[in-house]
Amino acid sequence: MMPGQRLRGCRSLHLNEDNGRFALLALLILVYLLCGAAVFSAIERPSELRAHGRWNGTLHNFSETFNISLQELNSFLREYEAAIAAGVRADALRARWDFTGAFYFVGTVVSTIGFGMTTPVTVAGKVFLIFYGLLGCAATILFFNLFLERIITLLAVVMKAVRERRIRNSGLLPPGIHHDFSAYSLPGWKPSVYHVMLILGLSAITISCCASAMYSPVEGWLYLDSLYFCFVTFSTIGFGDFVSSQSAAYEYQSLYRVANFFFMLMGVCCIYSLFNVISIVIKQVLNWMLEKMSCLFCQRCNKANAFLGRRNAIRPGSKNRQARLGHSPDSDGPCDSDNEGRRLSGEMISMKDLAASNKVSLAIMQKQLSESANGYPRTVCGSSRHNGFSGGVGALGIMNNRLAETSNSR
Amino acid sequence: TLLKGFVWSPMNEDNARFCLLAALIFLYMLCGAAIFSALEHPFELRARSLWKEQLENFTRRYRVNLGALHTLLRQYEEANGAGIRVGTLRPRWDFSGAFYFVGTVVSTIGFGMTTPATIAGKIFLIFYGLIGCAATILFFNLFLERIITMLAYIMRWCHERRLKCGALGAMSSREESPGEEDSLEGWKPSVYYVMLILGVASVVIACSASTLYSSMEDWSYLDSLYFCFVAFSTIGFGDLVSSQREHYESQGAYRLGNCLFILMGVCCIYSLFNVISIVIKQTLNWILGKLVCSGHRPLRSCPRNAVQPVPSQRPTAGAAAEVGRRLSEEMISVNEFTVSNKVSLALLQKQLSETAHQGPRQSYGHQNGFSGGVGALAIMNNRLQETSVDR
Repeated sequence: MMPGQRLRGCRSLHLNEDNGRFALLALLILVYLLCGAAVFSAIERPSELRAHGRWNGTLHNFSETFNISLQELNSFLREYEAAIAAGVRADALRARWDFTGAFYFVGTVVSTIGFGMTTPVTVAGKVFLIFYGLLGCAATILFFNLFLERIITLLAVVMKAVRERRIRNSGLLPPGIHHDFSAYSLPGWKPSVYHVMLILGLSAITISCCASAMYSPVEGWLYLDSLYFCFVTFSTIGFGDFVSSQSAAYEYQSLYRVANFFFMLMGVCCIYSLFNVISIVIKQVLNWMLEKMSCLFCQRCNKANAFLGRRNAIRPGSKNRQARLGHSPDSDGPCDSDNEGRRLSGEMISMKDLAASNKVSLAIMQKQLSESANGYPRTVCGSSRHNGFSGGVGALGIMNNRLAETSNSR
Repeated sequence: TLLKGFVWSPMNEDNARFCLLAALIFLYMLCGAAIFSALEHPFELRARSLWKEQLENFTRRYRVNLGALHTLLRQYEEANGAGIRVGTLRPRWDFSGAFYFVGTVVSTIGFGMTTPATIAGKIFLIFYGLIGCAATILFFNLFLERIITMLAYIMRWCHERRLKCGALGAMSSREESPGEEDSLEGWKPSVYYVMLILGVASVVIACSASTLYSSMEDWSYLDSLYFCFVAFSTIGFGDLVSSQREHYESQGAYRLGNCLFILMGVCCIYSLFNVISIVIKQTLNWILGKLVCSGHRPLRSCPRNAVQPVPSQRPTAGAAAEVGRRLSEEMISVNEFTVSNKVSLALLQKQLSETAHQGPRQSYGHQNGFSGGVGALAIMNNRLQETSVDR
């Protein structure tokens, strides 16, 4: 595995590219955290000090009014803290651990939102939580990943249909052709990650706004607080400062609870997909930065080097892509772990595999013929399936070979 | 096409798997809710009645107006939201507190011990979190990829060594090129081994972290383990949060240790979750296979997806069927067909050149492999036995 060949001649960088990218990302996230901490500190610290002042004042007032010593008051409040942990509040709340409350709890566990309004206190509960959560969270991660795959597939189909219609309307195709066959004109077309990001972003905003419009009147929160709650929940951060559906009674309670469940489900799915799509963009940025940095360190770095890094010259469709998008061969991005050359680096293809691949091609051909005979709906897979990187990074793999940016390079 | 004749034939396999998973998770949640309810409800009732008693005692003893007391309690709840407790805690929003906060945000743990109270803070949080969480998800995914690569490399090395020792007597001339041995071709670590290794690593990290927390925070060891699980899985309830007190012995070292433990723990458990989800996916495929079989007798052999919990040499058998399923609903144009032939040729060239250079090799059932995967599963696609040939 020689992705470091790309950095051949750049002696100062001994990391291979994957490790380099990982380290760079870690560094950037650390910087991001430091900056965020500084900003939040500046924004929130005054408010915290004021809250402390207010509370001290309140405590003293109460102590004086009713002639209770501060220690007694504090020990009483300590008891209240324990009660809060068990779900008691000044205003009556719904039961924590009746069946519906436990269902809400379990939902916050498997989705990893983890509000914390309900937490197990018994030893048995805690032990059971660990084993329950192991399996539940894994299954739910799978669910979100499958959802991400389904949504990208759906978006690709829709966007392709739109594109085909536009092409057909512009008169490039004879109108009689079945719309599936028109995909011949779009071999290897995949939606751009930016379009998908835009669409997911819009849906996320729509879901949040609708959910906030529901939470705001029902819970009595400000609209902004509802939006904040939506973001915190859907991103599975789940602070717990705002939690929906906690009061003892609502009008149309069952309806509200069901709506709460569906909004959260859709919201988490959407925002999770959005995060993964954004992470593709971030990965592109990282690759770009790595390229710039290695060029900085490497005097012999020029276009030839980038070409050298393209160990595998196969880029089917890339000529089409480049011609369509007007990219130069090198601007497809530096070689990285998803580049095909690197993907296949270090792998030996035996004659057996070659023969098998020919069998596959044949079988595909047969299938295509039989399917066109039967008129089954089709989506263009794109030759990149053979050439494409069978793998990816985490959830990015879903989007591998399904988006323009993830088809040939990365 | 393989579901033709079955009652839900319009549904392709991907959608069927998705729906089946949704149904199973829902069932899992119902059962979990029932069990948790049985375990915890009695204690809740006891705690409520205890509090009622304490409230009554207090009001009677000090002759306090109940309304005023409730107002005080409400104000205390608000103060709780701002991070105030009866005992003194470390400041929420000094720089280190804010750093802890943003850490809980981008990792999506979200303890909630610190939350923004101002409007500006909340708005900033939304935008900050969008980028931060996406970057951190990328970080965890890259970590998963790195760890699987490393594990595969180590396990393969052990495998080679074992083979070499075994073949030492017979073939002395082969020691230089382990990759040419047929037994190593296409060898990839099994998902079960990786799961075991990750599981052991997680347990080790959790236990070490728990010893640290139980000594520094005075929690029971079980509570520390519980905290570790809740934090590392990014659930982050917030009922127990480490490093909240104002003063600790060797505070700097403890905070650093806390940070590193949480980082390693989340990475490890995230990877473990993803590996477990591969196993769950296999189970789903098996269930789907059984459902299809029981409802319909297709002409081809029944589990059309050959990914079974038992790895076998089945991959090449029925490759056409598997390919057909994998590529169902995809049209391959003649263009792509010729291109794929070009690929085969180039691959052959590549193989020859690499053999000449004796580059490290790893056989790939590449063309037969499922190019793509599901989410983080894709990382492990073509890196593990179960994910090499089929989904």
